[in-house]
Amino acid sequence: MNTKKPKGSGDGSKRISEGRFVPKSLAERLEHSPGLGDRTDTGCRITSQTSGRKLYWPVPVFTRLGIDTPASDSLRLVLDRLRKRCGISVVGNSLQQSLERSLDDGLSIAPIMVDEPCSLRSLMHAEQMELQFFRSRSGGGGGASEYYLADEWIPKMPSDLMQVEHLAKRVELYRSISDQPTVVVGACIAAGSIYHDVRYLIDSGLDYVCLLTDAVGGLMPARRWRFESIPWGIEEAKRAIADSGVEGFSLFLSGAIDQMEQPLDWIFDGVQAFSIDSVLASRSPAVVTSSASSDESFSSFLGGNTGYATPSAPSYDWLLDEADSWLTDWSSLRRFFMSR
Amino acid sequence: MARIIELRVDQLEPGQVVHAVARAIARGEWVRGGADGQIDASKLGPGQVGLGHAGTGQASGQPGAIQQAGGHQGDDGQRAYSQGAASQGASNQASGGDDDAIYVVLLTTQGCDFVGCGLKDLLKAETGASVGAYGFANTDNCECVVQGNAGDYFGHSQLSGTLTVMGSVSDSLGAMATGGLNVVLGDAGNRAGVSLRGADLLVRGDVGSHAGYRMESGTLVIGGNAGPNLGAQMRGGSIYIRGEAQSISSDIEEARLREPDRLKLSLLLMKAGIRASALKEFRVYRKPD
Repeated sequence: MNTKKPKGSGDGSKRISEGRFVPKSLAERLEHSPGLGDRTDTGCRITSQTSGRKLYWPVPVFTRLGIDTPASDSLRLVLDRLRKRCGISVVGNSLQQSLERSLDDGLSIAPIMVDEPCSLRSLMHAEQMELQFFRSRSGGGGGASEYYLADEWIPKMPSDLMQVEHLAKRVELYRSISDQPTVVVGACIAAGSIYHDVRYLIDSGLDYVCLLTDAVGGLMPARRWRFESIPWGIEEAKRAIADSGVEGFSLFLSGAIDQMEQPLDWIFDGVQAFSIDSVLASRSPAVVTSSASSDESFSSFLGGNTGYATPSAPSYDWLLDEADSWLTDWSSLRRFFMSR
Repeated sequence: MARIIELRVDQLEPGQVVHAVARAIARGEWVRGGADGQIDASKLGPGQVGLGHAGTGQASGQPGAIQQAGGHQGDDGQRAYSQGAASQGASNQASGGDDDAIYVVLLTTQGCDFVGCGLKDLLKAETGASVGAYGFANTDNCECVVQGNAGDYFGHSQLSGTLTVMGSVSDSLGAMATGGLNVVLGDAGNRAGVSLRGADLLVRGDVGSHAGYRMESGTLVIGGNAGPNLGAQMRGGSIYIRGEAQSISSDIEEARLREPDRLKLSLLLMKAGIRASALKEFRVYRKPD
């Protein structure tokens, strides 16, 4: 994958005030239930390019904390509860393998590190899979407890895949392994030449791409990395999708959220789902939240996170309340506005 | 008591073999043989699994434990089946005597992709024809045999057990395999052993270009010649080659063949059922210290 650095900068996320969104009229709002907790109208659907079937997301929000932080059982437990209580989809291996889930539960998105041996059995019941195009290293004790730390956020082509046809065949394998009829397979990319990377993914038969313009690693404390200008990333991805001629290809975004209105702009721009990791990291009870630019040494990220002592057996219960609170506010805001 | 399962892969969705086997084992969704241990396989529905009950007929090595079903089966699968796959399984059962041992005959059409992906803990699995891409990928603790050729990425991410291809394989043999032994009795295409992570690969014939590309650990044994760029970007492990390589990457260098190397070679050849002769003709290449 091309590692060319992007051009362009700037936030450009103040467009709500520029008139792209206007509040719904009082009459329109009165037609609907005023319940603030009602999120039923905020879901999204991801289309499978092969079957044409759609996978329903109760809310267009996901978190990557399950793979971008050292995954303890306590964190995974909280993330499972996050899926059930808030409907937030979670990228990472779930503790609970049960297929029983409510329609309002968020999805468990199975991550697949492209340059690591694949574990097909873990994908047997996956509803959604996401290829991670990062250089990575494995950690943990091996087996089921194994996790991956993205300690170098560099676009990474798998060493055993040389052409689009190879990746297409691999995607076909992943897709066929799952017994879920609506399974969707996507890919997460960071930095690089977004246009060419997205075209590559589309040509390989994937269903969606997740742009990682910002990375949040660790929660106690968190570190944040910014790679891309969000508007530039969205623009390049949209251009690639449009040029490919493929309809129904979805775009996810994992970017920094400074204002609650920003995700509305992204959705208006064509993003179907976004990550709230930066929000959660900013509300971490940990004392220090550091940030760094992507020009610094990648190797110091997470794996070599020296200078920040991680408390033993940290509690992540605050995640639930913070996520629920933010999501309720954002859902209310979303219902309040309408696009022209 | 061992069991024989005849699985019609070509009637399943690609890649669903592991589901079918798992279901059959977990739920007992197979057709049991009669008193004589025989199954009327013509009564099997599409994708249904037939279980050959291990009876006296199998113990004596007779191949009739499962009768061939008519209908959708392709010619290749029928021919290969009649070559005695079941009898092989029967002899295995007779010698094994493991209650949980499963012998699966995968009846495929020629070149079917994703055959046997994710199989785990089977006594033996065998295809009746050549397989396509990703044959027996990510298998764990299985002895698998392909009666023919195999496509790209054969044995990808293999965890353990033994895979054997009676013919030749295409590109990227054994990519990212972390354990077990992968034996090819014919030739292998390009990038054999790419990103190998600890498994042992043995190719009796020639290999194409970039063999051992980005290999991290494990062993690649080449009984014939190699194409250009042998061992490019290799980070660890060993390459044993008996013939000549068109060109050898500067990332590796020849090392002296020591006694442990000869022992390892002998062991791998013995496991592969190949006579361990002319060991002195092998050379070994590794990443420089």
